[in-house]
Amino acid sequence: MRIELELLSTGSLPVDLGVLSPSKVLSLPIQEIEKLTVLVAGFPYELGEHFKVAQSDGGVDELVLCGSTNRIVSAGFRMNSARLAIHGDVGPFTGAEMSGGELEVFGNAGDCLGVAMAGGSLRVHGNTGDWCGAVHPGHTKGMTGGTLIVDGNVGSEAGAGMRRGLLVIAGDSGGYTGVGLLAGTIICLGRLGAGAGLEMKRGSLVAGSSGFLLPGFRPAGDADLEWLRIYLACLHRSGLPVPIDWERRPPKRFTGDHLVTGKGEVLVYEIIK
Amino acid sequence: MHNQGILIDDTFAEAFPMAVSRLVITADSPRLALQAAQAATGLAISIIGCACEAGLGEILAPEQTPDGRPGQAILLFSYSAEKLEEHLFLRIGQAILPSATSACFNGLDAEKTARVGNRLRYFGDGYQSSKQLDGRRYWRIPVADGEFVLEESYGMGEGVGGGNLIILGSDRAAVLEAAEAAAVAIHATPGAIAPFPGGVCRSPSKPGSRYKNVRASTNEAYCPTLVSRVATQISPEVRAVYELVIDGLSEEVVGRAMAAGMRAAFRPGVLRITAGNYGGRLGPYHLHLHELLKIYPG
Repeated sequence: MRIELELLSTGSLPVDLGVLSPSKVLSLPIQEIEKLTVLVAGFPYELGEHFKVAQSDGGVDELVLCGSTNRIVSAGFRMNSARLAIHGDVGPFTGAEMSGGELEVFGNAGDCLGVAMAGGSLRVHGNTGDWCGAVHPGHTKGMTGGTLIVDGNVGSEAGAGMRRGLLVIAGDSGGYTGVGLLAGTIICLGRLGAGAGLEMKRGSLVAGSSGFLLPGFRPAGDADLEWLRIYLACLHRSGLPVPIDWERRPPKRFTGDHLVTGKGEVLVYEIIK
Repeated sequence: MHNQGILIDDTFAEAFPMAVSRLVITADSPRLALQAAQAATGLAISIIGCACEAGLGEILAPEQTPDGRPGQAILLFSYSAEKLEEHLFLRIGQAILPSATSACFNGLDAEKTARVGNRLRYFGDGYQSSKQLDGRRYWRIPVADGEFVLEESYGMGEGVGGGNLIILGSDRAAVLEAAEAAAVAIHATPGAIAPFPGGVCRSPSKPGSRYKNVRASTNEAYCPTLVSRVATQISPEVRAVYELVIDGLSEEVVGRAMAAGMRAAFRPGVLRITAGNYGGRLGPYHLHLHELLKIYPG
């Protein structure tokens, strides 16, 4: 069953869908869905006042958000199952703390996409803002599981404090990607921003190109790594444009950040001087 | 029943459940993958002697393996999951880990698992690290040509062991040729192995012995040199007997392999094909030779 929620344009106020669980919505009849509470500018309203609800049978079970989706914040917050598709740009905290299910955005996403994500799969067919897959302010761990794929570019501090999971950036990443990385894997098919991996303890940062790395990173030669081949095969299956060059030659490996443990690694195919 | 002048006994092979694992070994070349696989299956001939029976499975193309390199599958069987786990740990650690450029992946999804990588990772002496992808955890152990990658857990399913064929004939060379052809046919059956050297066993055994500390001994009933001294199972014109032991991922796989083996053994010089059993008392799987030839036509 497919439930479509079309956000009607009634101004620029943010519509917080953090309390809306896709699996719950999919289990309710239209009349009850319309009575669910959403927060508009922080005030509670019945969903039916701002959304047009439609239901259709067949195909995949999914909740679809469309219309003025750029006003929506916290879509898929803490979702743990089912599928949520967003057709259009979406605001911040999309997929934050999600632990299961599938979330797909056919547009751009705001800041804090998949922040503290713990499981499931999240994909954005566009760009995202800062703190993608990162840690909540004041918390110690960022992503702890799941797969987050961004087909475009990401802002600063993507994957900050990441503990586990996979973050893939098909475009370029902003500054301080993987800052404070605890473990997990970040793959940036484009160019890595400055300051990448600052104070990373463990984990892997893989990039197509990068400027000079921070002084806490030491060169460790070329590295033909089997685990990376497994990951690249996974990216191929996801339809991501892995550069042919990546299959032909090993990346340069740097260990670090030696300011902390030195147990992490940055793999870069090209260092741009 | 006769086929091409060869007597096929109206009897059955008695097979029993065994714990089984399938490993996918990859390396930089098919030769290196095969080398690691041969080392890992070494001396795993019979559970009588080493509690493990193992053999080579399919050759895998790069697109069939997790890391996109040439691969070789192997199957390992034991009489219990605990014993199999012990052998997985030993054989991955002692044979595959030291093999140049190798990696070792789980090739069988099963409810029961052996946490081999979780124990072997300590070889990394603190420099090991792990990766998790699609619900699987891979351990990376630094070694002198890069890293040895293995999985945290390996599936242990319920397979079938003890399928067998006994080929008897008047001329040793001809019977051996037929047995080797049967071994090739068994090996070509997906999910089946014939763990003896070249797939062929020249020493059929019986449980126990006249000596109290010997668990198994020669089956004198099939020894041509003893026909005049014991209650023999062979006729005077038989000069050579070869046995093929078959383990597989399921009863169907073992049955299919036995049928393929029998057909391949229909050659000049072979007088009779039979199978070993314990009167149906030990194993729940009774693979009747005549039925197998009907169920699995060539």
